[in-house]
Amino acid sequence: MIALEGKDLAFSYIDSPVLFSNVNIQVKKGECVALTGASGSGKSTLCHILAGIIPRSIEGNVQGKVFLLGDEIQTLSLVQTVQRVGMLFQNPDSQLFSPTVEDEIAFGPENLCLPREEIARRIAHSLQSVQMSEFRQARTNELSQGQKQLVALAAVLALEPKVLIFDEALAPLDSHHHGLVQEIIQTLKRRGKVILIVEHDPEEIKIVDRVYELRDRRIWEVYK
Amino acid sequence: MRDLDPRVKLLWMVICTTGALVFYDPIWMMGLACFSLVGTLVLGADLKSFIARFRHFLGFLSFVVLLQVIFNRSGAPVLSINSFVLLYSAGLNRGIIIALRYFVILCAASVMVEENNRKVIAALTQMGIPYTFSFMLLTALRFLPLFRSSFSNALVAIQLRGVELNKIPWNKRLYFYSSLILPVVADAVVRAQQLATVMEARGFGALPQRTSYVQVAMKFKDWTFAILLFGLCGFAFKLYYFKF
Repeated sequence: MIALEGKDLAFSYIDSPVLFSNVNIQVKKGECVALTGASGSGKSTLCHILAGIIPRSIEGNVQGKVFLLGDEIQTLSLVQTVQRVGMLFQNPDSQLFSPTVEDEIAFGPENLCLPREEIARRIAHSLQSVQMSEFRQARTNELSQGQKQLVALAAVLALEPKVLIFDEALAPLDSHHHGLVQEIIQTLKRRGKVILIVEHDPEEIKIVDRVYELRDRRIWEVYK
Repeated sequence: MRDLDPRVKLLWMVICTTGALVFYDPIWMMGLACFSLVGTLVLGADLKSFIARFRHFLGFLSFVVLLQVIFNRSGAPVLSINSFVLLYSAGLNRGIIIALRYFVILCAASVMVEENNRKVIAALTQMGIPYTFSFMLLTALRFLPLFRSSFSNALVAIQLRGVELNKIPWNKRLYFYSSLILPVVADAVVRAQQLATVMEARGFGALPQRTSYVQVAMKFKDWTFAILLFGLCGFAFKLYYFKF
């Protein structure tokens, strides 16, 4: 079953040339796929489109269609979208805005109007998934970069999305946290999550099944 | 007292700042400043951070007070050299009032800076204020230190290119400062966009209501403190305006 699909996608920012066109990408259920390409090739932009952030939050001319678990993303509400796809960004500092780890993770489920008991369960579960349970009451500004990224991942996991997109999220991590996040991704994959990882060097990610490359404004499937 | 409900702390802040704007008598202002300082420490502001914040503020405060003292030339002469009067009583009074006013505002702000943002948001939301407005307010406050760090990063970048800001005259220094405004503002806009994207990617604004995991409830000591504050405030204002 195809969980995430981009069909004939083309994109340009307002008053800018076309960044890419004829982009077709498919990620199946339980699959972990890498997206690679040079800086400025449009990897992050493609992720934003696949996560529905473009054009919902960021303006731009999008052509083509994105299907998320069978439904076209444009037809989904924000609540439905965030429950289906979660995205982890590169910079941990710009992803944390709450005073404590617990507050940060509670933010997403609170937006979905979940009951407090369910929010508590999700906080505990997502912290356990990223091995950060003992930091529940810690202040976010006192964490290391690696720990911050793990908290940001826990905050995304608390929304329990089926599809996870890592937009160069491993880049700022030291080797310890890099390995830890790969382990977590492997566990998530085993649990049936759909994973798309943007990386400059997909060889560093040992768990990917397939690799796509954005080059010359087109997408190419390259084999590992 | 540190764990008082954020609404009581907000009430205390409103009373202090209102008093600071209303009182025009140096004795009253001094009383209010003492009350604010004690309140600040009792309500949980960290003394070290407060002193550090006050030190940062001292240069600006001295400048404002000096302006009042020099240019307010009414009342009885207090200090003069030969026949030229340097200081008038009204100028001195005004200078003291302005200094204490800023001090009170700083005290009041210090308490809210130390308060847990999420508790404040929960408290404001429970008071019926739309959650988007509460988040907007606190996100704006969060950007002030970020703005300052962006500015100091840009200053370091300039100095790494060989400009020794301490050794150049003020007019040239101002030129360098003005050239930093655009990149610093652009950086703040980019950060704001990133923050908005992250918040929306986690469903912020998706529904007209949201639950709050953090719950705040007015306890007996919160009500007692609030009633005491109201009583004290009413008594002080009546005494100030009507002298009984």
